[in-house]
Amino acid sequence: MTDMDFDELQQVVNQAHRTFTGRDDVPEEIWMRVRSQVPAVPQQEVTPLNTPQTLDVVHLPARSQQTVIVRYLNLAASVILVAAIAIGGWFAAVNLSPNDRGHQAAMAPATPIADASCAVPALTAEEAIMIIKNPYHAIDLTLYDMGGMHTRMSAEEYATPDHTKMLQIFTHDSVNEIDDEEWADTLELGDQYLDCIQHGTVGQVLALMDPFVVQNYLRDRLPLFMSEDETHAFLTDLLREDAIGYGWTDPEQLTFISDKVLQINPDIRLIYADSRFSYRNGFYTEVIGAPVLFSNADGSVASAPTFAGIPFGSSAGQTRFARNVFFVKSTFDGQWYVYDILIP
Amino acid sequence: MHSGIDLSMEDDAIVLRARENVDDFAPLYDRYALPLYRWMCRETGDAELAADLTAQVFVQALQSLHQYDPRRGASFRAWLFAIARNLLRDNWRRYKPGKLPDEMIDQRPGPEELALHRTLMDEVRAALESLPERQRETIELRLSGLSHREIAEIQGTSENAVRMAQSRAMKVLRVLLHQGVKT
Repeated sequence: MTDMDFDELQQVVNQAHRTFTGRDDVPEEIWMRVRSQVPAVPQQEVTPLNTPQTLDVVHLPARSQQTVIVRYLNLAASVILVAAIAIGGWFAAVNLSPNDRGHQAAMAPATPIADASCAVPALTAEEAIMIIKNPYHAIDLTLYDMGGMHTRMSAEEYATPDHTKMLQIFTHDSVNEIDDEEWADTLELGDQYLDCIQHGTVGQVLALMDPFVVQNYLRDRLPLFMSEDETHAFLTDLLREDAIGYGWTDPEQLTFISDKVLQINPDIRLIYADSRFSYRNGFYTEVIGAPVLFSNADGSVASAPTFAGIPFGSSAGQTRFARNVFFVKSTFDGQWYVYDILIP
Repeated sequence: MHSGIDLSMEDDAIVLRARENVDDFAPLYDRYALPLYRWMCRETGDAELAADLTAQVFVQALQSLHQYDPRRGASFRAWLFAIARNLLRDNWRRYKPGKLPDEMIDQRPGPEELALHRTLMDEVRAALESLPERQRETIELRLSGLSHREIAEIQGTSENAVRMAQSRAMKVLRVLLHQGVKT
Protein backbone atom coordinates (compact mmCIF):
# COMPACT_ATOMS: atom_id res chain seq x y z
CA MET A 1 0.00 0.00 0.00
CA THR A 2 1.20 3.49 -0.74
CA ASP A 3 0.32 6.81 0.87
CA MET A 4 -1.26 7.71 -2.44
CA ASP A 5 -3.79 4.92 -1.95
CA PHE A 6 -4.71 6.20 1.47
CA ASP A 7 -4.88 9.82 0.30
CA GLU A 8 -7.25 8.70 -2.44
CA LEU A 9 -9.41 6.89 0.11
CA GLN A 10 -9.42 10.01 2.28
CA GLN A 11 -10.64 12.07 -0.67
CA VAL A 12 -13.41 9.61 -1.52
CA VAL A 13 -14.54 9.48 2.10
CA ASN A 14 -14.52 13.27 2.46
CA GLN A 15 -16.45 13.63 -0.77
CA ALA A 16 -18.98 11.09 0.50
CA HIS A 17 -19.37 13.11 3.69
CA ARG A 18 -19.92 16.37 1.79
CA THR A 19 -22.60 14.88 -0.43
CA PHE A 20 -24.20 13.09 2.52
CA THR A 21 -24.44 16.06 4.90
CA GLY A 22 -24.38 18.87 2.35
CA ARG A 23 -21.67 20.60 4.35
CA ASP A 24 -18.02 20.45 5.18
CA ASP A 25 -18.14 21.65 8.73
CA VAL A 26 -19.73 20.66 12.01
CA PRO A 27 -23.29 21.67 12.92
CA GLU A 28 -23.22 24.57 15.38
CA GLU A 29 -25.66 22.91 17.72
CA ILE A 30 -23.18 20.20 18.69
CA TRP A 31 -21.04 22.62 20.68
CA MET A 32 -24.16 24.15 22.19
CA ARG A 33 -25.31 20.71 23.29
CA VAL A 34 -21.91 20.07 24.83
CA ARG A 35 -21.88 23.37 26.69
CA SER A 36 -25.38 22.80 27.98
CA GLN A 37 -24.20 19.57 29.59
CA VAL A 38 -20.96 20.73 31.16
CA PRO A 39 -20.58 23.49 33.77
CA ALA A 40 -18.17 26.33 33.01
CA VAL A 41 -15.74 25.20 35.69
CA PRO A 42 -15.30 21.46 35.46
CA GLN A 43 -14.16 19.09 38.16
CA GLN A 44 -10.85 20.33 39.53
CA GLU A 45 -9.40 17.15 40.91
CA VAL A 46 -6.42 16.12 38.79
CA THR A 47 -5.75 12.42 38.84
CA PRO A 48 -3.56 10.21 36.69
CA LEU A 49 -4.98 9.19 33.37
CA ASN A 50 -7.19 6.17 33.53
CA THR A 51 -8.20 4.41 30.42
CA PRO A 52 -11.33 5.96 28.97
CA GLN A 53 -13.08 2.61 29.28
CA THR A 54 -13.29 3.15 33.01
CA LEU A 55 -15.37 6.31 32.79
CA ASP A 56 -18.25 5.79 35.11
CA VAL A 57 -19.95 9.17 35.03
CA VAL A 58 -21.77 9.61 31.77
CA HIS A 59 -24.41 12.29 31.46
CA LEU A 60 -26.15 11.88 28.17
CA PRO A 61 -26.90 15.09 26.31
CA ALA A 62 -30.42 16.08 25.39
CA ARG A 63 -31.64 14.08 22.45
CA SER A 64 -33.84 14.96 19.56
CA GLN A 65 -37.19 13.18 19.33
CA GLN A 66 -35.99 11.40 16.19
CA THR A 67 -32.98 10.09 18.00
CA VAL A 68 -35.11 8.83 20.85
CA ILE A 69 -37.38 7.03 18.40
CA VAL A 70 -34.40 5.43 16.66
CA ARG A 71 -33.07 4.24 19.97
CA TYR A 72 -36.40 2.70 20.95
CA LEU A 73 -36.62 1.01 17.55
CA ASN A 74 -33.16 -0.40 18.07
CA LEU A 75 -34.08 -1.70 21.49
CA ALA A 76 -37.23 -3.26 20.06
CA ALA A 77 -35.17 -4.94 17.33
CA SER A 78 -32.85 -6.37 19.98
CA VAL A 79 -35.81 -7.80 21.89
CA ILE A 80 -37.16 -9.36 18.68
CA LEU A 81 -33.74 -10.85 17.94
CA VAL A 82 -33.45 -12.45 21.37
CA ALA A 83 -37.00 -13.79 21.13
CA ALA A 84 -36.37 -15.20 17.65
CA ILE A 85 -33.23 -17.01 18.78
CA ALA A 86 -35.06 -18.48 21.79
CA ILE A 87 -38.04 -19.58 19.69
CA GLY A 88 -35.74 -20.98 17.02
CA GLY A 89 -33.87 -23.06 19.58
CA TRP A 90 -37.11 -24.30 21.10
CA PHE A 91 -38.52 -25.11 17.67
CA ALA A 92 -35.42 -27.09 16.69
CA ALA A 93 -35.42 -29.05 19.92
CA VAL A 94 -39.13 -29.87 19.72
CA ASN A 95 -39.68 -30.49 16.04
CA LEU A 96 -36.64 -32.29 14.69
CA SER A 97 -37.47 -35.93 14.49
CA PRO A 98 -35.00 -38.67 15.35
CA ASN A 99 -34.78 -39.45 11.68
CA ASP A 100 -33.79 -35.90 10.93
CA ARG A 101 -31.05 -35.72 13.46
CA GLY A 102 -31.42 -38.70 15.68
CA HIS A 103 -29.19 -37.20 18.30
CA GLN A 104 -31.26 -35.00 20.51
CA ALA A 105 -29.29 -35.88 23.60
CA ALA A 106 -26.24 -34.31 22.06
CA MET A 107 -28.18 -31.30 20.86
CA ALA A 108 -29.57 -30.03 24.11
CA PRO A 109 -27.19 -29.47 26.98
CA ALA A 110 -29.45 -28.05 29.67
CA THR A 111 -26.95 -26.36 31.93
CA PRO A 112 -25.40 -22.97 31.44
CA ILE A 113 -22.05 -23.05 29.72
CA ALA A 114 -19.09 -21.41 31.39
CA ASP A 115 -17.39 -18.55 29.61
CA ALA A 116 -15.02 -19.99 27.06
CA SER A 117 -11.42 -18.89 26.86
CA CYS A 118 -8.33 -20.01 25.02
CA ALA A 119 -5.53 -21.40 27.18
CA VAL A 120 -3.43 -22.95 24.42
CA PRO A 121 0.29 -22.02 24.40
CA ALA A 122 0.77 -19.86 21.32
CA LEU A 123 3.05 -20.70 18.45
CA THR A 124 6.19 -18.59 18.81
CA ALA A 125 7.86 -16.66 16.02
CA GLU A 126 10.80 -19.06 16.17
CA GLU A 127 8.53 -22.07 15.80
CA ALA A 128 6.67 -20.37 12.98
CA ILE A 129 9.92 -19.74 11.11
CA MET A 130 10.88 -23.40 11.51
CA ILE A 131 7.50 -24.46 10.11
CA ILE A 132 7.89 -22.12 7.16
CA LYS A 133 11.25 -23.69 6.40
CA ASN A 134 10.02 -27.22 6.91
CA PRO A 135 6.64 -28.12 8.41
CA TYR A 136 8.00 -31.27 9.98
CA HIS A 137 11.50 -30.23 10.88
CA ALA A 138 12.09 -33.35 12.95
CA ILE A 139 11.71 -35.44 9.85
CA ASP A 140 14.04 -35.44 6.95
CA LEU A 141 11.27 -34.45 4.62
CA THR A 142 11.91 -35.29 1.02
CA LEU A 143 8.67 -34.61 -0.72
CA TYR A 144 9.32 -36.78 -3.71
CA ASP A 145 10.24 -39.82 -1.67
CA MET A 146 7.01 -39.95 0.30
CA GLY A 147 4.80 -42.93 -0.13
CA GLY A 148 1.43 -42.49 -1.73
CA MET A 149 2.35 -39.36 -3.63
CA HIS A 150 0.86 -38.50 -6.96
CA THR A 151 3.92 -38.19 -9.09
CA ARG A 152 2.43 -35.72 -11.51
CA MET A 153 2.00 -33.05 -8.85
CA SER A 154 4.34 -30.10 -8.75
CA ALA A 155 6.10 -29.24 -5.53
CA GLU A 156 3.79 -26.23 -5.18
CA GLU A 157 0.66 -28.33 -5.57
CA TYR A 158 2.16 -30.87 -3.28
CA ALA A 159 2.55 -28.54 -0.32
CA THR A 160 -0.59 -26.45 -0.75
CA PRO A 161 -3.71 -27.35 1.21
CA ASP A 162 -6.71 -27.87 -1.00
CA HIS A 163 -10.01 -26.96 0.59
CA THR A 164 -11.93 -27.94 -2.50
CA LYS A 165 -10.64 -31.46 -2.24
CA MET A 166 -11.50 -31.55 1.42
CA LEU A 167 -15.03 -30.35 0.72
CA GLN A 168 -15.53 -33.10 -1.80
CA ILE A 169 -15.98 -35.59 0.98
CA PHE A 170 -19.37 -34.03 1.56
CA THR A 171 -20.51 -35.95 -1.45
CA HIS A 172 -19.37 -39.22 0.08
CA ASP A 173 -21.17 -41.39 2.54
CA SER A 174 -19.71 -41.19 5.99
CA VAL A 175 -17.43 -44.04 6.98
CA ASN A 176 -17.12 -43.97 10.72
CA GLU A 177 -13.92 -45.73 11.53
CA ILE A 178 -12.83 -44.15 14.76
CA ASP A 179 -13.03 -45.48 18.28
CA ASP A 180 -14.44 -43.60 21.22
CA GLU A 181 -11.07 -42.93 22.83
CA GLU A 182 -9.57 -41.40 19.74
CA TRP A 183 -12.72 -39.37 19.17
CA ALA A 184 -12.50 -38.00 22.73
CA ASP A 185 -8.97 -36.73 22.02
CA THR A 186 -10.05 -35.16 18.75
CA LEU A 187 -13.07 -33.61 20.38
CA GLU A 188 -10.92 -31.89 22.98
CA LEU A 189 -8.68 -30.52 20.25
CA GLY A 190 -11.70 -29.25 18.34
CA ASP A 191 -13.21 -27.48 21.32
CA GLN A 192 -9.88 -25.81 22.08
CA TYR A 193 -9.76 -24.64 18.48
CA LEU A 194 -13.28 -23.21 18.60
CA ASP A 195 -12.48 -21.40 21.84
CA CYS A 196 -9.29 -20.00 20.37
CA ILE A 197 -10.75 -18.69 17.11
CA GLN A 198 -13.17 -16.66 19.24
CA HIS A 199 -11.07 -15.70 22.23
CA GLY A 200 -7.42 -16.41 21.40
CA THR A 201 -4.65 -15.05 19.23
CA VAL A 202 -3.51 -16.03 15.78
CA GLY A 203 -0.54 -17.81 17.40
CA GLN A 204 -2.82 -19.87 19.64
CA VAL A 205 -4.99 -20.96 16.73
CA LEU A 206 -2.02 -21.87 14.56
CA ALA A 207 -0.56 -23.95 17.39
CA LEU A 208 -3.48 -26.35 16.94
CA MET A 209 -3.36 -26.58 13.17
CA ASP A 210 -1.62 -28.92 10.82
CA PRO A 211 1.92 -27.67 10.10
CA PHE A 212 1.40 -27.86 6.35
CA VAL A 213 -1.66 -25.65 6.66
CA VAL A 214 0.26 -23.29 8.95
CA GLN A 215 3.14 -23.11 6.49
CA ASN A 216 0.78 -22.22 3.69
CA TYR A 217 -1.07 -19.68 5.80
CA LEU A 218 2.10 -17.88 6.85
CA ARG A 219 3.68 -18.08 3.42
CA ASP A 220 0.69 -16.26 1.96
CA ARG A 221 1.17 -13.38 4.36
CA LEU A 222 4.90 -12.87 4.29
CA PRO A 223 6.23 -10.16 2.01
CA LEU A 224 8.42 -11.42 -0.80
CA PHE A 225 11.66 -9.89 0.35
CA MET A 226 12.43 -9.88 4.02
CA SER A 227 15.43 -10.70 6.15
CA GLU A 228 15.10 -13.31 8.87
CA ASP A 229 15.15 -10.59 11.53
CA GLU A 230 12.38 -8.71 9.74
CA THR A 231 10.45 -11.96 9.33
CA HIS A 232 10.79 -12.60 13.04
CA ALA A 233 9.40 -9.15 13.89
CA PHE A 234 6.60 -9.53 11.36
CA LEU A 235 5.57 -12.91 12.71
CA THR A 236 5.79 -11.75 16.32
CA ASP A 237 3.17 -9.10 15.60
CA LEU A 238 1.03 -11.37 13.46
CA LEU A 239 0.92 -14.17 16.03
CA ARG A 240 -0.15 -11.73 18.76
CA GLU A 241 -3.15 -10.44 16.85
CA ASP A 242 -6.65 -11.39 17.92
CA ALA A 243 -7.76 -14.48 16.06
CA ILE A 244 -11.35 -13.39 15.71
CA GLY A 245 -12.10 -11.86 12.36
CA TYR A 246 -8.87 -13.26 11.02
CA GLY A 247 -9.85 -15.68 8.31
CA TRP A 248 -11.26 -18.42 10.49
CA THR A 249 -14.18 -16.21 11.36
CA ASP A 250 -15.05 -13.89 8.52
CA PRO A 251 -16.80 -10.59 9.23
CA GLU A 252 -20.19 -11.95 8.28
CA GLN A 253 -19.86 -14.77 10.78
CA LEU A 254 -18.84 -12.49 13.62
CA THR A 255 -22.25 -10.90 13.91
CA PHE A 256 -23.93 -14.15 14.78
CA ILE A 257 -21.28 -16.17 16.60
CA SER A 258 -20.37 -13.38 18.99
CA ASP A 259 -23.02 -14.36 21.51
CA LYS A 260 -22.85 -18.11 20.93
CA VAL A 261 -20.83 -20.85 22.54
CA LEU A 262 -19.23 -23.02 19.90
CA GLN A 263 -18.44 -26.69 20.52
CA ILE A 264 -17.82 -29.70 18.36
CA ASN A 265 -21.00 -31.74 18.50
CA PRO A 266 -19.83 -34.64 20.70
CA ASP A 267 -22.12 -37.19 19.08
CA ILE A 268 -19.80 -39.59 17.29
CA ARG A 269 -22.64 -40.65 15.01
CA LEU A 270 -22.63 -37.21 13.39
CA ILE A 271 -19.05 -37.14 12.20
CA TYR A 272 -17.43 -38.17 8.99
CA ALA A 273 -14.36 -40.27 9.77
CA ASP A 274 -12.38 -42.05 7.12
CA SER A 275 -9.08 -43.83 7.41
CA ARG A 276 -9.21 -44.79 3.75
CA PHE A 277 -9.28 -41.19 2.65
CA SER A 278 -6.05 -40.61 0.80
CA TYR A 279 -5.68 -36.89 1.09
CA ARG A 280 -3.10 -35.10 -0.96
CA ASN A 281 0.10 -37.09 -1.05
CA GLY A 282 -0.17 -39.22 1.95
CA PHE A 283 0.31 -36.36 4.39
CA TYR A 284 -2.61 -37.62 6.41
CA THR A 285 -3.65 -41.12 7.39
CA GLU A 286 -7.14 -40.17 8.55
CA VAL A 287 -9.57 -37.32 8.17
CA ILE A 288 -12.55 -36.36 10.32
CA GLY A 289 -15.21 -33.82 9.60
CA ALA A 290 -17.35 -32.83 12.56
CA PRO A 291 -20.23 -30.35 12.82
CA VAL A 292 -20.15 -27.38 15.16
CA LEU A 293 -22.86 -27.15 17.79
CA PHE A 294 -23.99 -23.58 18.50
CA SER A 295 -25.36 -22.96 21.98
CA ASN A 296 -26.66 -19.94 23.79
CA ALA A 297 -25.00 -18.86 27.02
CA ASP A 298 -27.74 -20.55 29.07
CA GLY A 299 -26.87 -23.89 27.50
CA SER A 300 -29.86 -24.09 25.18
CA VAL A 301 -29.10 -25.12 21.61
CA ALA A 302 -29.20 -22.37 19.00
CA SER A 303 -28.33 -24.62 16.08
CA ALA A 304 -27.18 -28.21 15.72
CA PRO A 305 -26.53 -28.97 12.08
CA THR A 306 -25.35 -32.42 11.09
CA PHE A 307 -22.18 -32.92 9.11
CA ALA A 308 -23.71 -34.20 5.91
CA GLY A 309 -27.22 -32.94 6.52
CA ILE A 310 -26.92 -29.81 4.50
CA PRO A 311 -26.66 -30.36 0.79
CA PHE A 312 -24.65 -28.30 -1.64
CA GLY A 313 -26.53 -25.41 -3.20
CA SER A 314 -28.66 -24.68 -0.16
CA SER A 315 -29.38 -21.04 0.50
CA ALA A 316 -27.35 -18.86 2.81
CA GLY A 317 -30.21 -18.88 5.30
CA GLN A 318 -30.09 -22.65 5.63
CA THR A 319 -26.32 -22.82 5.98
CA ARG A 320 -26.01 -19.80 8.19
CA PHE A 321 -24.95 -21.79 11.22
CA ALA A 322 -23.49 -24.77 9.42
CA ARG A 323 -19.77 -25.10 10.03
CA ASN A 324 -17.62 -28.21 10.02
CA VAL A 325 -14.24 -28.55 11.61
CA PHE A 326 -11.87 -30.86 9.77
CA PHE A 327 -9.21 -32.81 11.59
CA VAL A 328 -6.32 -34.63 10.01
CA LYS A 329 -4.02 -37.26 11.46
CA SER A 330 -0.48 -36.64 10.32
CA THR A 331 1.46 -39.34 8.56
CA PHE A 332 4.66 -37.93 10.00
CA ASP A 333 4.07 -37.76 13.72
CA GLY A 334 0.75 -39.57 14.16
CA GLN A 335 -0.84 -36.53 15.81
CA TRP A 336 -4.29 -35.11 15.17
CA TYR A 337 -4.35 -31.51 13.98
CA VAL A 338 -7.07 -29.12 12.96
CA TYR A 339 -7.12 -28.65 9.21
CA ASP A 340 -9.63 -25.80 9.05
CA ILE A 341 -13.22 -24.78 9.72
CA LEU A 342 -15.21 -24.85 6.53
CA ILE A 343 -18.67 -23.89 5.38
CA PRO A 344 -20.56 -26.62 3.52
CA MET B 1 -15.58 31.70 17.26
CA HIS B 2 -13.21 31.11 20.13
CA SER B 3 -11.16 34.17 20.98
CA GLY B 4 -8.86 34.71 23.89
CA ILE B 5 -6.60 31.73 23.31
CA ASP B 6 -3.75 31.14 20.93
CA LEU B 7 -5.07 28.68 18.34
CA SER B 8 -1.59 27.34 17.68
CA MET B 9 -1.18 26.18 21.27
CA GLU B 10 -0.36 22.56 21.81
CA ASP B 11 -3.23 20.31 22.83
CA ASP B 12 -1.83 19.70 26.30
CA ALA B 13 -1.46 23.41 27.04
CA ILE B 14 -5.08 23.95 26.04
CA VAL B 15 -6.17 21.07 28.26
CA LEU B 16 -4.47 22.73 31.23
CA ARG B 17 -6.41 25.93 30.64
CA ALA B 18 -9.66 24.11 29.92
CA ARG B 19 -9.47 22.48 33.33
CA GLU B 20 -9.98 25.97 34.74
CA ASN B 21 -12.54 27.15 32.23
CA VAL B 22 -14.50 24.94 29.86
CA ASP B 23 -14.73 27.68 27.23
CA ASP B 24 -10.96 27.48 26.78
CA PHE B 25 -11.53 23.95 25.45
CA ALA B 26 -13.07 25.38 22.29
CA PRO B 27 -9.88 25.27 20.13
CA LEU B 28 -9.63 21.54 20.78
CA TYR B 29 -13.26 21.19 19.77
CA ASP B 30 -12.49 23.10 16.58
CA ARG B 31 -9.58 20.74 15.85
CA TYR B 32 -11.32 17.46 16.40
CA ALA B 33 -15.06 17.92 16.02
CA LEU B 34 -15.09 17.54 12.25
CA PRO B 35 -13.12 14.25 12.03
CA LEU B 36 -15.21 12.88 14.89
CA TYR B 37 -18.46 13.98 13.28
CA ARG B 38 -17.41 12.45 9.96
CA TRP B 39 -16.58 9.18 11.70
CA MET B 40 -19.94 9.11 13.46
CA CYS B 41 -21.73 9.85 10.17
CA ARG B 42 -20.01 6.90 8.52
CA GLU B 43 -20.79 4.73 11.50
CA THR B 44 -24.49 5.59 11.80
CA GLY B 45 -25.50 6.78 8.34
CA ASP B 46 -27.62 9.36 10.17
CA ALA B 47 -26.42 12.96 10.42
CA GLU B 48 -28.65 13.78 13.40
CA LEU B 49 -27.55 10.73 15.34
CA ALA B 50 -23.93 11.46 14.41
CA ALA B 51 -24.26 14.95 15.86
CA ASP B 52 -25.71 13.44 19.04
CA LEU B 53 -22.86 10.95 19.40
CA THR B 54 -20.24 13.60 18.65
CA ALA B 55 -21.68 15.77 21.41
CA GLN B 56 -21.56 12.81 23.79
CA VAL B 57 -17.87 12.27 23.06
CA PHE B 58 -17.04 15.86 24.00
CA VAL B 59 -19.28 15.81 27.05
CA GLN B 60 -17.49 12.71 28.30
CA ALA B 61 -14.11 14.22 27.50
CA LEU B 62 -14.85 17.43 29.36
CA GLN B 63 -16.27 15.61 32.34
CA SER B 64 -13.12 13.50 32.61
CA LEU B 65 -10.58 16.07 31.54
CA HIS B 66 -8.95 15.89 34.95
CA GLN B 67 -8.15 12.25 34.23
CA TYR B 68 -6.07 13.02 31.17
CA ASP B 69 -2.38 12.93 32.02
CA PRO B 70 0.05 13.76 29.19
CA ARG B 71 2.95 12.40 31.24
CA ARG B 72 1.68 8.93 30.53
CA GLY B 73 2.68 9.29 26.92
CA ALA B 74 -0.74 9.10 25.29
CA SER B 75 -1.60 12.17 23.23
CA PHE B 76 -4.77 14.10 23.91
CA ARG B 77 -5.98 13.20 20.44
CA ALA B 78 -5.52 9.48 21.10
CA TRP B 79 -7.27 9.88 24.45
CA LEU B 80 -10.22 11.72 22.85
CA PHE B 81 -10.64 9.19 20.07
CA ALA B 82 -10.41 6.33 22.56
CA ILE B 83 -13.46 7.85 24.26
CA ALA B 84 -15.23 7.93 20.89
CA ARG B 85 -14.26 4.34 20.20
CA ASN B 86 -15.62 3.16 23.54
CA LEU B 87 -18.80 5.17 23.15
CA LEU B 88 -19.43 3.51 19.80
CA ARG B 89 -18.77 0.08 21.22
CA ASP B 90 -20.89 0.47 24.31
CA ASN B 91 -23.72 2.78 23.32
CA TRP B 92 -24.14 2.43 19.60
CA ARG B 93 -23.02 -0.85 18.11
CA ARG B 94 -24.87 -2.84 20.74
CA TYR B 95 -28.17 -1.62 19.32
CA LYS B 96 -27.09 -1.15 15.75
CA PRO B 97 -30.00 -2.00 13.41
CA GLY B 98 -27.63 -3.52 10.85
CA LYS B 99 -26.73 -6.27 13.29
CA LEU B 100 -30.03 -8.06 12.81
CA PRO B 101 -29.42 -11.50 11.37
CA ASP B 102 -30.19 -11.95 7.71
CA GLU B 103 -33.06 -14.33 8.31
CA MET B 104 -34.94 -11.59 10.15
CA ILE B 105 -34.56 -9.14 7.31
CA ASP B 106 -36.29 -9.33 3.97
CA GLN B 107 -33.25 -9.22 1.73
CA ARG B 108 -35.18 -8.27 -1.38
CA PRO B 109 -34.83 -4.62 -2.28
CA GLY B 110 -38.04 -2.64 -2.00
CA PRO B 111 -39.38 -0.52 -4.84
CA GLU B 112 -37.92 2.67 -3.38
CA GLU B 113 -34.55 1.06 -2.99
CA LEU B 114 -34.62 -0.15 -6.54
CA ALA B 115 -35.61 3.28 -7.72
CA LEU B 116 -32.93 5.17 -5.83
CA HIS B 117 -29.29 5.13 -6.72
CA ARG B 118 -26.94 4.16 -3.96
CA THR B 119 -25.06 7.18 -2.73
CA LEU B 120 -21.32 7.42 -2.39
CA MET B 121 -21.80 7.34 1.38
CA ASP B 122 -23.67 4.04 1.02
CA GLU B 123 -20.72 2.64 -0.91
CA VAL B 124 -18.21 3.86 1.64
CA ARG B 125 -20.22 2.54 4.57
CA ALA B 126 -20.80 -0.84 2.93
CA ALA B 127 -17.10 -1.18 2.15
CA LEU B 128 -16.08 -0.29 5.71
CA GLU B 129 -18.73 -2.64 7.11
CA SER B 130 -17.16 -5.50 5.22
CA LEU B 131 -13.91 -5.20 7.16
CA PRO B 132 -13.09 -7.08 10.35
CA GLU B 133 -13.64 -4.89 13.41
CA ARG B 134 -9.96 -4.20 14.10
CA GLN B 135 -9.20 -3.27 10.50
CA ARG B 136 -12.22 -1.03 10.23
CA GLU B 137 -11.33 0.76 13.41
CA THR B 138 -7.77 1.24 12.18
CA ILE B 139 -8.98 2.79 8.95
CA GLU B 140 -11.49 5.03 10.74
CA LEU B 141 -8.85 6.31 13.12
CA ARG B 142 -6.39 6.88 10.28
CA LEU B 143 -9.07 8.77 8.36
CA SER B 144 -9.57 10.87 11.48
CA GLY B 145 -5.94 11.90 11.34
CA LEU B 146 -4.41 9.69 14.00
CA SER B 147 -0.90 8.36 13.55
CA HIS B 148 -0.02 4.67 13.57
CA ARG B 149 1.52 5.18 16.99
CA GLU B 150 -1.61 6.79 18.41
CA ILE B 151 -3.78 4.00 17.03
CA ALA B 152 -1.42 1.42 18.52
CA GLU B 153 -1.85 3.16 21.90
CA ILE B 154 -5.61 3.03 21.62
CA GLN B 155 -5.74 -0.57 20.49
CA GLY B 156 -3.01 -1.77 22.81
CA THR B 157 -0.96 -3.21 20.00
CA SER B 158 2.22 -2.39 18.05
CA GLU B 159 2.66 0.15 15.28
CA ASN B 160 3.61 -2.69 12.98
CA ALA B 161 0.34 -4.46 13.71
CA VAL B 162 -1.54 -1.24 12.94
CA ARG B 163 0.30 -0.90 9.64
CA MET B 164 -0.52 -4.49 8.75
CA ALA B 165 -4.18 -4.00 9.61
CA GLN B 166 -4.27 -0.87 7.47
CA SER B 167 -2.54 -2.62 4.61
CA ARG B 168 -4.98 -5.53 4.66
CA ALA B 169 -7.95 -3.22 4.90
CA MET B 170 -6.74 -1.11 2.01
CA LYS B 171 -6.51 -4.16 -0.21
CA VAL B 172 -10.18 -4.88 0.38
CA LEU B 173 -11.31 -1.26 0.19
CA ARG B 174 -9.44 -0.68 -3.03
CA VAL B 175 -11.45 -3.42 -4.71
CA LEU B 176 -14.81 -2.68 -3.12
CA LEU B 177 -14.74 1.07 -3.60
CA HIS B 178 -13.46 0.74 -7.14
CA GLN B 179 -16.36 -1.58 -7.93
CA GLY B 180 -18.85 0.67 -6.14
CA VAL B 181 -17.74 3.86 -7.84
CA LYS B 182 -17.81 2.19 -11.25
CA THR B 183 -21.38 0.89 -10.93
